[in-house]
Amino acid sequence: MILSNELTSLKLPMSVHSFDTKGLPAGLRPRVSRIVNDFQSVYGQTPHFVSRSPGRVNLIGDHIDYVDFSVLPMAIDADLLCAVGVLSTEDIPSITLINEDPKFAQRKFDLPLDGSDISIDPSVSDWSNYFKCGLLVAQQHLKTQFPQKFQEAPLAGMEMYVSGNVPTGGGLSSSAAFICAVALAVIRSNTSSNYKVSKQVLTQITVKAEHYVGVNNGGMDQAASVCGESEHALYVEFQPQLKATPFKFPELQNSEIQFIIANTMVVSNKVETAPTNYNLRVVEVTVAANVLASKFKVALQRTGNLEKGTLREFMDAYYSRYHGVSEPWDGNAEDGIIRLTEMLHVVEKSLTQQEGYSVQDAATALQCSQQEFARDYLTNFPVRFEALKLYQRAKHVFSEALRVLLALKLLTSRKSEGDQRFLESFGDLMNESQKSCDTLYGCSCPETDELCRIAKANGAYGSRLTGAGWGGCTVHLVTRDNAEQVRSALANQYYRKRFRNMPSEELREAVFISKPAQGSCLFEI
Amino acid sequence: MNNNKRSYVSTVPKANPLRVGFIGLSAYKGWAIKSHYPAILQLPSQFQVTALLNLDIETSLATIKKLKLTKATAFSDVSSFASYDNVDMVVISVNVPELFTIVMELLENSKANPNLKYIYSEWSLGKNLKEAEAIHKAAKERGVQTIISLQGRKSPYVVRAKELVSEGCIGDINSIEIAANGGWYGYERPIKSPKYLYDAASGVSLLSIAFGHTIDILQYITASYFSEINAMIFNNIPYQVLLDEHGKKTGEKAEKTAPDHLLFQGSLSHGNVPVSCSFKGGTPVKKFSKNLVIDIHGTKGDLKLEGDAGFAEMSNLVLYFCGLKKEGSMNVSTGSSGAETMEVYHLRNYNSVVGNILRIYEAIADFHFRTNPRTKLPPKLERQGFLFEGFPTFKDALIVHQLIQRVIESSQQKTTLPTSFEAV
Repeated sequence: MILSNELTSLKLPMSVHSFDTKGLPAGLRPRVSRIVNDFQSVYGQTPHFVSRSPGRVNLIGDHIDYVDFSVLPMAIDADLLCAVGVLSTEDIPSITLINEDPKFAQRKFDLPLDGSDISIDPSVSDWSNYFKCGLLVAQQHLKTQFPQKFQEAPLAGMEMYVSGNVPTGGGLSSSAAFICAVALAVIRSNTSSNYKVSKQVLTQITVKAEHYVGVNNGGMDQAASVCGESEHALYVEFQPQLKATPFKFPELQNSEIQFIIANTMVVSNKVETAPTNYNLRVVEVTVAANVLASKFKVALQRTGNLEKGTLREFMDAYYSRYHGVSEPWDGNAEDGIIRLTEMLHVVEKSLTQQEGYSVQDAATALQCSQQEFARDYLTNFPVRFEALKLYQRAKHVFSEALRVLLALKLLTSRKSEGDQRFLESFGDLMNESQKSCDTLYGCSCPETDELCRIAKANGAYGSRLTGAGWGGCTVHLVTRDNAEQVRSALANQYYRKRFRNMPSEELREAVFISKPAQGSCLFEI
Repeated sequence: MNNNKRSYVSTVPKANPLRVGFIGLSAYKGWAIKSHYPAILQLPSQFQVTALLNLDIETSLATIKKLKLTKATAFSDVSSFASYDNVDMVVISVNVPELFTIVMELLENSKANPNLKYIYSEWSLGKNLKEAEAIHKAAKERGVQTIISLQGRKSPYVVRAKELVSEGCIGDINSIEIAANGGWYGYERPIKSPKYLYDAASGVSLLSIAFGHTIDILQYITASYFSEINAMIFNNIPYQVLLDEHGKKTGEKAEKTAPDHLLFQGSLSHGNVPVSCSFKGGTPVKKFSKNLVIDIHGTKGDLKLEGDAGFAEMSNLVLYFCGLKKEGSMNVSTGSSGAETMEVYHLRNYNSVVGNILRIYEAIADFHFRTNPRTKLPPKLERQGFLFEGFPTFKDALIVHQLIQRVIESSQQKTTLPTSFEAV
């Protein structure tokens, strides 16, 4: 991965920040000192360090990261902390996990003495599986970095206390925050406090970690959690290379851009609903890319999450064959806007079966047997469906990728065009994105629609779901001046109506204003 | 699919771990080190190895040292192992021909260990029905909870298939075909492979392994035993060519009295469902179809399990389903009304050798520590039968042994025989 400073005047550090007790940012002091105390009371000793990784909110560009199109997320204040005690060499190194939240029962397991991989059972939904994902990718990394030490020997045992305020199943990527914090903690536990963990490495190794629990996701969440910078949003690109570029929001003349995050309180667990929701979408866009490739007689490489090519690759192949452009799209916004617009015409002309494609239809379009189709597209992760909606999914992906480019241009162009004009343009892109997620991608829900309606009616410029959808959180573009008005409208018209006795603390966690936050870091105790 | 949500289920009980006495765990060879040991490693607060018995004490001592089993004591004979009272659960993973003598001696001498609560044995339960009956009876009299490693019942693919069938997603079952492969009973065999595998009298054969596990899985998925069966057992390969370590022919031959093919047909008592099975002995493997296929046809849909390796109980399978959408079940991406639901269930990274055994240990722990608040199991599990919860017991093993005995009789008598297990 590349971490680029090209859009910011600040010189941002390339490795994960490590704070000592004195350097602790003031905002984090109470939480760090609380988790240290909690660790002490359950394990009877002081932890060696605390690793932290934040949740993220995606401003625009949903469900396109696994198609290799760029996205615009930012890390948020909500985060996940892991207090860790590293165990000295003992008989069998073991891992103990305790979570502040009683919904997640205590776990303990031993590490294989020969340094072999622990096995993860993706058929069950268990919080320790996410820990194991982080452990596994960190272990694989350590094996390549220090083969003599880790190739045939176990990692150090750990005692861990976990405390997070990223709502689980809230679309703010609590899973990626946990996995990144764990991978960081495992590397730190097995090296030393002086060892610098590069942000690029941490992103690179965690990007596909969630695939071990059966979610076929893209790399946005990990990139945002690791590479987040305070005051900066991120432009994350996946092709031609994985790249994160922090940038500051443009300064308004009379106010300040802010984002309100509001939780629908509809829990959406990506793992548990993956066969009909998340993983099915990954299959649909992959099939769509191949049906298009077949119609236009171009070949796709074995890239993407199913190693069957992506819609972005189809775009390149199409341009190569029909426009004589031999180089794949390099990310240039102007070129991208032209090509994506043409792709939308192509989808409109070619994927005509709006009611969806059965296995038979898809196999026919791909000129293969139903058995071959099932083997090639449906056996990577469990899926369940009645029809594959290739038209709608492809249309969403290309139009959403287009909106990201337009949003990036707006956010990074220096010319001032008036606050109102800017806010409305950016807000419109967010609103169109929400509409596309709802009608084309089928990943919204009535609660999300309701929150967006209330926010817009009370002054939000743009409102949309964020993360995978099917519940979870929404994000709303406001200014410092009208933020409180929107927040209180949401509180009164949504939360107080639906959850009459919601305590004010829970309300503060359900709807809050977040600034872009710092990414993964370590606190040495 | 609620039995898949485990985040809230504690695996660190307030009580002490179950102390496990292991017969046949060697760090250097065998099945237990590949499956039981890595499973127990994942549940150290529920299981702790405290005793080890192998053919020679050196193996046990070396295993304790290599695996750092600091809490374990090595034993060299069954009687002192059995009376050691620092054991709550005995796991037996030995060669089947030796099983009967060891288990009977263990049960007899374990009366000196008041703490013994569980006996967990590998399948099969002895060489034949007679031994299985005697073991079952002795265990019942000793009053311990039994567990048998018919771990196919814990395969996520089998559980998913059972869910789909029990929710009515394929309607009534119309007919079933099974094809499987016994692995070792083809034209060739490795020179190092133990002789007893090929001796008809040892009880370890195509019938007990491939047929036993697979047919138990079928009965478990369909929630039905057989009402009548007919079988033909073949030994068309009386001599096998021996292969060296590299898989090259040595030119030598060895005798084989164990069967190399089984034709089996029968009807399930629930719905009088026709079941047709062909079990191939081993190599060469099929070139144009999968080595393991369980194909279930229903009035409203079809369900098929496929595997590249022949052993359903320890391989990573693929489940295909096409049929009715269950009302009120997981919401499905909707197509035009009346469209069928298609499901393909495959877990790419699932380690089925460790995973299925791990799930048996998890079920034992859930049962013992009552860690799953949703459990409805009785304090003593006579047999699992067709429950999702719990684990298979010696009684479940006995039912499979009875079926195998009927298969042998049917083949010998060249006749169709009634079988009735509903009453057992």
